Amino acid sequence: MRRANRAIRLFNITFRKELWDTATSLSAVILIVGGMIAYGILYNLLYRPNIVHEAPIVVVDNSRTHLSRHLISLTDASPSAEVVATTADLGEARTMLSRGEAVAILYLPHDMSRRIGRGEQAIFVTLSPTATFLYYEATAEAIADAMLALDSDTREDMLWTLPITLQEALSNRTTADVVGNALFNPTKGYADYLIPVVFVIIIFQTMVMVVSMNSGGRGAMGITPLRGREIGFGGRVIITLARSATYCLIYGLLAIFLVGLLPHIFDLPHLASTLNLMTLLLPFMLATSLFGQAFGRLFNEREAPVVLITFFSVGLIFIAGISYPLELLPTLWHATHYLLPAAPATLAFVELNSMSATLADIAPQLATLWLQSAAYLLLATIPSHGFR
Amino acid sequence: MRAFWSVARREVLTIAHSPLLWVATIGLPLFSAVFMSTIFGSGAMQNIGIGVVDEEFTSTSRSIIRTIDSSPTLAVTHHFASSTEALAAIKRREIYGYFVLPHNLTRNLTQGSRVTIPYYYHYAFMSVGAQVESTLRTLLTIVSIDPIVVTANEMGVSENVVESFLEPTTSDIHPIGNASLNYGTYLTEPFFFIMFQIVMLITMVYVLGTERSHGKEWLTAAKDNIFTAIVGKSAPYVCCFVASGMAALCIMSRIGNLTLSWGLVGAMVGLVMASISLAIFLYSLYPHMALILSLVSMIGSLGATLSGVTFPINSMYPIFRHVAPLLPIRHFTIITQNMLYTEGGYKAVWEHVVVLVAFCLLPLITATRMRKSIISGSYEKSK
Repeated sequence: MRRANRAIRLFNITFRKELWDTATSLSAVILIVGGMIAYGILYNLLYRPNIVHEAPIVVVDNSRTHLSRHLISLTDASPSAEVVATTADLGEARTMLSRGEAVAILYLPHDMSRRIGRGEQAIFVTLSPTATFLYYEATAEAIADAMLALDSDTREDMLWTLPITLQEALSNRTTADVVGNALFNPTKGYADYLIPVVFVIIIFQTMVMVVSMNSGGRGAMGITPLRGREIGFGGRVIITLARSATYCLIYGLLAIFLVGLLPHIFDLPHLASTLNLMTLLLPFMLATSLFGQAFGRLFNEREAPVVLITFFSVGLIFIAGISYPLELLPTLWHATHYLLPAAPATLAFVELNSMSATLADIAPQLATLWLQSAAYLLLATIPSHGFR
Repeated sequence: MRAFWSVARREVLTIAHSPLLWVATIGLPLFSAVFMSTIFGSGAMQNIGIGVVDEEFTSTSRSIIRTIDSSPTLAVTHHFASSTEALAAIKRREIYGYFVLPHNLTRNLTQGSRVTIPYYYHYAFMSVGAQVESTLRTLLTIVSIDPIVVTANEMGVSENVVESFLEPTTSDIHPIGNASLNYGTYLTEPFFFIMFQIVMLITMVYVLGTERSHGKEWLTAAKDNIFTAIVGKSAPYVCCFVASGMAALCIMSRIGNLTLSWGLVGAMVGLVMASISLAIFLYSLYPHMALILSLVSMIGSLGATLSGVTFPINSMYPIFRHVAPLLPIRHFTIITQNMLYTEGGYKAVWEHVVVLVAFCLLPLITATRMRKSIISGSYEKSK
């Protein structure tokens, strides 16, 4: 009984001290508030337009016929693209491309109408740099739609190419309507795809920075009131868990704003129930805070961990399995997916929030996070040397 | 000049004795070059698993499935009895898309009845979803006219004539700079430099911040000249980061698909100098290491967005079009994309070259402020 009381007291003291240390550290407050609130809002505003409209296209019209003008107007009518200039000079169009005034060239050759007149397929060419994939996709979509509309309008002019006996039989033929449907992101919005990922990475990045800065700070100031050997393994576990509880409390409260409120304000996917979200966020935050404590033991300076953590956070988006399929990652990078809490948490969060997955669907990620928690708890408490 | 060498020598010794600075100036840039060059494997999304709901179950529908399956991008790995089953498989991430071949597809097509071939793709995972979408759209549009062509053939009309009738126009799209739409080619180079800028900003702030424990030693070594102090201190880091940048470019061209050029090397040197100058400028404004470290870590992370690689800056709210040029990475991205994708030289983007150079002058604005803070010892306490 006395041992239990001592454990509760140690937990209580550590919890309060960590809360006080964090609340009175300007850099920690900036990281937490700036990260969770300012970053959360800023990223939403950055990607708020969500969809790429009006990709600027320059047309090289060497045909200058009714057919080419019709294609130009159909392309311009597409919400995805805008014809910003029409010229007869390919060199001029290339200059516009290299100056960033256009993102694609639609080249209409001189024999376009003549080929239709001969009953042949008219060919036109699109030159599109792939520096920004969203522009490339918008351009390709606009031109594909314009081409389908042009085909439909031109088919009647081609009827003469068929034998008279077959003209009536084939005149009402149309190609099948091939209709695509985007699942789990019906507007095909970039924000709807990326922001849920960013939310998880913000929590991970700022929490690890704050936790490891506090840990490094204790080393820098020579604060060693908690001598590892004296307090024993059990004591070190209690202290480590009490610190984790502090960060889970702080981040749990701010997560209400980040993943609870912001998706409603900015109309992002929010299909997960509160209970399911909590079931995911608890092991994620616990694993992240324990990872931060284990990582922070490597440093005796308050600021040193920041250099590494910010750097590695950018790469997290790739090993999470969202921007690139997990199955296609090379084995080594696929394995790192299971080492860092942000990666499985991101995948599970997207599945819960965007795909209305159940807890059973994300069971592998939950198991990974709990296993990571156990592993990082051991790394944060063993060996006793250097525990502070 | 002697003062400059004195400051530079002092800084070289600092780097030599600090494992963290070795990691930051050499280790991290090389690691990120290897990471970005290898993370996407071959970079080409191939054999992406998709499913089919074949309601027709005829030789025609089987032929359509075989054609889709033979594409290098897609692999028809699952056959489903209904859309519900296919949707469940997508949720389990067993497949990334599926298409439905409806009842009486062949009959309706040949009789001229309206036919819809629906297909579905996973767009919570945008990159793979976009790949599935474009491939399925192209292939299904092509194969869906096959039954009409066959029927017309039977009626004595040649394949060419009926194809020209059904599709009078055709578009040939050329992706410039990345013909195979390789994901690695698209992201490796820009994301390496986004990470590179982060590490340069943070390292320089860290280096300036750690001077607090050395009092006026830095300024004394520079014979009390703040300009010599700043140039002497930053020169070794410029050399280290340029060397790392060169090595990284070589790694990306050997392992990845980057086309190395002297223009690219010049832009990299510009980015290194601009980033280091920006870090010195920000730290001089308010010499509080923890605070400015937090700030530059946020600014650096924003580079991934404000470089304009992932989402076009022109599609963002107008205010962000004005904020993006405040980061060196934005100008660097425009310069390098111009070289890599439109084969333009510095001439077409000279304004961005000028701005990148102008970043190097930023520390001059706040140099006297930095000097005052060193002399007055107004560096912050650790907390």
